[in-house]
Amino acid sequence: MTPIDNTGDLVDDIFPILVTGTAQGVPLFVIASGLTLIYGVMHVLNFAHGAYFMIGAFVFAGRFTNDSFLQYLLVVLLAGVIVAVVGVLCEVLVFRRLYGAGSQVSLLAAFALSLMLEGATRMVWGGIPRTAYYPDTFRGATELFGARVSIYDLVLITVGLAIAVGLFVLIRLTTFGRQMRAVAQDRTMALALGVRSKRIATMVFVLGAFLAGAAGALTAPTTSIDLGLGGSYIIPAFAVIIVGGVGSVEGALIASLVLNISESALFTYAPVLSGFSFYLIVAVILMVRPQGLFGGHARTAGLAR
Amino acid sequence: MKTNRKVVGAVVALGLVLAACGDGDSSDADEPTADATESEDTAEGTADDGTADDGTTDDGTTDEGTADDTAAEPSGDVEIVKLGQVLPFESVLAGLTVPDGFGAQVGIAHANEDGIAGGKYQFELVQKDDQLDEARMNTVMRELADEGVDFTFGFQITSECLSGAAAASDTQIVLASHCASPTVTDPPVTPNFWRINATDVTLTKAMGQTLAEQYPDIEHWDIVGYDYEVGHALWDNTKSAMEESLGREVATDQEFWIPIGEQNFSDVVAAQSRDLSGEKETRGLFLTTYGGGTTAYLQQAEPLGLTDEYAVIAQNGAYWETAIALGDRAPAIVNAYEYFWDCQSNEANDRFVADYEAIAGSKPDTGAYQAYTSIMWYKAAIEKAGSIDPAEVSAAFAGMELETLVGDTIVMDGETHQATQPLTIAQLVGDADAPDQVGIESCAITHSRDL
Repeated sequence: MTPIDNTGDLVDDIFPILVTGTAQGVPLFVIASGLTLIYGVMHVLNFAHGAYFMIGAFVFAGRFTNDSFLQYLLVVLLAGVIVAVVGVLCEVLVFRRLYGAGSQVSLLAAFALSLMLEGATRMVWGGIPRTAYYPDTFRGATELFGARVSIYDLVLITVGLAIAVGLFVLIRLTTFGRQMRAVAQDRTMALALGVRSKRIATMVFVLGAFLAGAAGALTAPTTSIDLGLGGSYIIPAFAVIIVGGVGSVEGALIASLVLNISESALFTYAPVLSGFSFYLIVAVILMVRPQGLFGGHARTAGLAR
Repeated sequence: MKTNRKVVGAVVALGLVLAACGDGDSSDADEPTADATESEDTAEGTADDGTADDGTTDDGTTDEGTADDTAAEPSGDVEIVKLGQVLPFESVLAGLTVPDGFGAQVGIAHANEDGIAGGKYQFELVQKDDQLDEARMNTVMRELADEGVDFTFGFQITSECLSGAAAASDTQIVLASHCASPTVTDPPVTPNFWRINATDVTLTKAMGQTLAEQYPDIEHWDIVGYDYEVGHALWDNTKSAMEESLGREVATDQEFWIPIGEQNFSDVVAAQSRDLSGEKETRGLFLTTYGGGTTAYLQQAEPLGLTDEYAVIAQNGAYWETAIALGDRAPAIVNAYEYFWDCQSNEANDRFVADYEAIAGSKPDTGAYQAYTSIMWYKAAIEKAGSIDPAEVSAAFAGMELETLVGDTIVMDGETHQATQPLTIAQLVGDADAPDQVGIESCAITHSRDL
């Protein structure tokens, strides 16, 4: 095999940084968008979201057998659907009973739920780490603008873009989206106007959990799938929704891209910051804009309380 | 009524989810996580407890009692000696510790079959999960003492060694540990603390010498490792050993030290791929990551074909589990440890491998070997002491020799409480046709006394 060229040039570095940073940002955006929707509508900081992500990855690893693009797509959807069912159960059996008890109680319940889901995952799949195949169609790397980039990274970027567009359409252009925004802004008024807020809450939970499961499935080929997987994504996802502005899907998108591309750039040009550059950028952004990029003061203050 | 319908609906939905989740292509025997490690009770199964003759239950899982099932029932004159295995069975390290549990079961069965001190004693296994929690270790050791356990083994992580030794310091409990940090022996942390396995220092030295002999043309190395003291020491020691053997300086090119436990290597592999220099034939890659970190690194390096860009990849620490997780995609990696199941051919090893496979459904790894060796070590020590008094057995450790499955001896230093032992440097690679899909391409066996 021909050795890879060592360019080491600033311009040559930029494209791989953009691709790597954006691809890393996609799973975080997908998880964070579900988290932020759930918080926006129900004021629940759902710590169990990390467990949803992990379950999605386990489902993918168990079902995907290195076949066609169609199988890949179906297994990603299957992972999302299975996790959505788990999400509904969580909402109906746990969170619905706690909406009146305040966000702190819900946060504790979500944490307990995440531990329970981790235990359930161990019961179903065991404690042995797993891996998943890259789909045959998306294996390997390609040359783009003189840089060698992973095809799967390009796939992640495309899927992330599709999810972003889909969410925009759903939230801005559909009746469900309007009702969801109405409940998020003023639950009592929405109820008075005939919006079935309980149903909306459940639907938002379904959507959020589906996105987390799908994100886990999308990430599965790139990592070790074990019981600690959810934990390594949930904290950065919380950082993304805070930087993006709590409740804002657009904010989650921009924040995940800004944070991950900046982190990739810092890794290249200031490797000494490796390991904490992500949170360094979070801190800098929040110093300049405490309410987040797309957030209002009131909602951020509410989260702080 | 409405609530009842919801609950029934929820239960049905949950059932459907669980049914959909289970793997279609895996059996419990492939994932030996089950009963052997879940219970903290003693392993005292009997032949009528549902286990088959081969030591497996009807559903293919391992029964805790299988180790004793194969042994003769103790008569009234036989004294039971309980051996406590302390490991984080249910932690994130479960993938590493489950084989240890099976290895201990086989060791107990073999020791009892062969007869301990002429059949005077029989071993019984007590497994305790410390959950990698130092605070829990006090409870674990107290429970062991309450259950009449005087002899323990396991303690795979340095923190377990330290907390286990501290927790047992007021008791007579003897510890035969498996952690690898050089700091816990010479001098030993407590008088009852012994280590029968190799330290990181000896393993890296063996690795360095072998790499120098087998790959003398490597001119420079790239390093991907976790940024902690041990991670750096693993490379530094290996490099020193290579330089000593080669008689020249070993150059490093790219070094990536990332936070311990990190599993996102996207930036690393992108930068690594961008800045590779020289020819493949002169380039080596050394990993000081471990567990899920190594798996994640290799997964993320795969699309860029990075592992094909090196003449050799070497890693200290367990690669066996990573190779199993990756299956036939696992790249060839040189790995230093005490034991690889196919690197020696002798009757004792064949017996161990066959009996292990019968209950675990896979080949044994180094952890299984360490657990097995610990059982045999206690058997030999009790026979040497002619007693099961903990103080006498501990004293018998000093200067003791034990023939191992590898075919050479472990020798315990009575001053340092550190043993010398055979070490194996093997190249493992994913191979769809090999057992567990992991092929052992080459083996080099050495002894730590010769390093």
